[in-house]
Amino acid sequence: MANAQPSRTQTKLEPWRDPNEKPYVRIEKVTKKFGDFTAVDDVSLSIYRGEFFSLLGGSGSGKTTLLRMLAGFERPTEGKIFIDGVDMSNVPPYERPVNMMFQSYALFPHMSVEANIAFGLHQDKVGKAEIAERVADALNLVQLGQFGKRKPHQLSGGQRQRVALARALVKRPKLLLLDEPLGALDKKLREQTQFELVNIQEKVGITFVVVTHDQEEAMTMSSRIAVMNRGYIAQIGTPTEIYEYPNSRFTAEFIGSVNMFHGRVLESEPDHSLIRSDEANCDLYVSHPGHLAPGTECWVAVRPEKVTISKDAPAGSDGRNQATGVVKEIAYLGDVSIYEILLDSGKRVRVTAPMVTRRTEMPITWEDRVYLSWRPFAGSVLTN
Amino acid sequence: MAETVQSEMRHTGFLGLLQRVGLSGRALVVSVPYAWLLLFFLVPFLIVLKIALAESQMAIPPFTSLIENVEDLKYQITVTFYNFHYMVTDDLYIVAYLNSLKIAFISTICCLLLGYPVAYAIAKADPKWRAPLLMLVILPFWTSFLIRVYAWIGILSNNGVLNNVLMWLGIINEPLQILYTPVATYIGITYSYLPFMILPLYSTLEKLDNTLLEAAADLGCPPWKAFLTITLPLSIPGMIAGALLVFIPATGEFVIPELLGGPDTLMIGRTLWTEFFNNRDWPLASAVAVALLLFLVVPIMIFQNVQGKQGGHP
Repeated sequence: MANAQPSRTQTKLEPWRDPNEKPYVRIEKVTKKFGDFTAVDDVSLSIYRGEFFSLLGGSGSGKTTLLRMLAGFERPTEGKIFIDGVDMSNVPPYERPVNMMFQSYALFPHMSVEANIAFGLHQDKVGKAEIAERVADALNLVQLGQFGKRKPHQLSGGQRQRVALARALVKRPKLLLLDEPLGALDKKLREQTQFELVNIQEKVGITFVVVTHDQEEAMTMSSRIAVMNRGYIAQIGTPTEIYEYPNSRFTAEFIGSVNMFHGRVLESEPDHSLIRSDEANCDLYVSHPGHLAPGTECWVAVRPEKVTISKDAPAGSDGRNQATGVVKEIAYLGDVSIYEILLDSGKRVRVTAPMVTRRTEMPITWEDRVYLSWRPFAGSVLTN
Repeated sequence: MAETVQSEMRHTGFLGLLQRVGLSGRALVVSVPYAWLLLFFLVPFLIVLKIALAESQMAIPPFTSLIENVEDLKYQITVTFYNFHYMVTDDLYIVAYLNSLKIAFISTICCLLLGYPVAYAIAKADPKWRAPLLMLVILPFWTSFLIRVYAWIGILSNNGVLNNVLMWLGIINEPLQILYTPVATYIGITYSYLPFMILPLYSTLEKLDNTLLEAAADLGCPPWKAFLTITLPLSIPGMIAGALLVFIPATGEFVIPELLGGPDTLMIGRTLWTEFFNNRDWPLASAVAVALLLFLVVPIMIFQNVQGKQGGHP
């Protein structure tokens, strides 16, 4: 996973931890129903000034509906949305201090790139000279200075994406909403643009709310992520929190890949939990505060890259957090290899190991008997 | 596997045959519509042109022939431009042409003004209502065109439905003379050709991407202004298509001015009819028809030009 976080020096670090900081966008108990279908189910969240906030979820998770309610295209069935302290319930989209970048870009096909970007400024009755200047600035910001006279159909997908971004930014909104901003780009361009988007956001200092289904994209760009599932918010947190401390099986499985060991709580203490798992064939020791009563059914999530794989029994082991099995599959990805190991209990486990050596010298091969082990902090205890 | 090879071989054999006659499969496919146009458009047109270049005479057929056998093995081609010359010199024809264009133009504008809101409403309607609404638009075609125009006589005449209703409501005291005036012609043409305006407009408006309007609203544009700056310009192709579909046949319209218009509603279709059937002057009637065609070819070419440019869009 590309986990290189661009530095965010311009914005106040982690404003959501400061109880005195006022949220910029406040979503209060918002529910949206389409007929019998509940698209967004009792969502409450706060977004702070200068944040790069991602709504992450699969299709049908309600993330786009939530974004469209911020833009004003949908009205909440219940609940309220405040932007900068103002109740948005009766504010139509064209009067909101919000701009949106559409997934399809929604560029006006009959207007040139310049006219597209100037469109929003014309609505605000900005003077001609200022429009020309701000359009030129916006074009330069997205590195499209030469393309102002072209029509949208004369541009490539990546260029159209930039025009859409420039058009949304040129009005200097308080809040910019981006619906799958990189969805239509190919992988290579997407990775480049991720960083560019973060740089632009830091340069203009606008609060971004991004909808995405791509967890890697969310991890790379966001200050915080809200993971959504079937209309509700499964977890809100920084990329690290979401990845390292998932609060549910859904989040753990949605972000990255994970091994889940089913078991029952044996001990639950302020500094650790002990779980007996038949699937892992051992007791699992987790060095986080235990929050479940002994006897509760639970799962222990362990990320594949936190597991060490070896042919020899790990030294000094107490038999906890340790399993044995046979290598069934090896996927060589260049930088890492993914091993699939069939445990003696019949459970299949995934392990990723960095390729420190060349492949030809790889010590572990198919049908080898191997030991898997991980440190006490690696696991997370989850219920449903 | 064996089957494919066999069919390919047959294919090659067929293609080979075509190539021997100097035709590729592609040329064969392309030539079908051309052959159709040649047989059913160009040939009849040339016949009409031939008659237009002949002289009228009291005989059967009522025009002189193009090629005459003067004596053994000696043929003579007689071409006269008399009819075209006569058309230009006699005011009647020019006035009739201009009047036709005027009536067709005003009717097209009426169709556009009436058809646009209807097409817009259908395009914006709930998808489950669109098919029935479109059905209603084309429903009149299920009745004879002639009968529908006759029905308008019943509506517009002095003791017709419209006048009776207006008098009953007390809006007017004596019947309005609408029937047998140009107004009746406008009403008739607008009514008859309205579906040809609505259908292309609907198909353009229905394809219009709704997110463009959302984007406009998002950028601070209220709905009425978004209609003017986004919807209207993007529906121009539909307006042009609809306008040509109304304008071209309306120019040559004969039945509606004949039945609803008065004797002073001069239109080229009527003039043509009079020359053909009342005066039995086939050559002059043919010359009028040829000139009408040339008048109409120009808008068609404009239309095709616009369509060609549209093709450049994704």
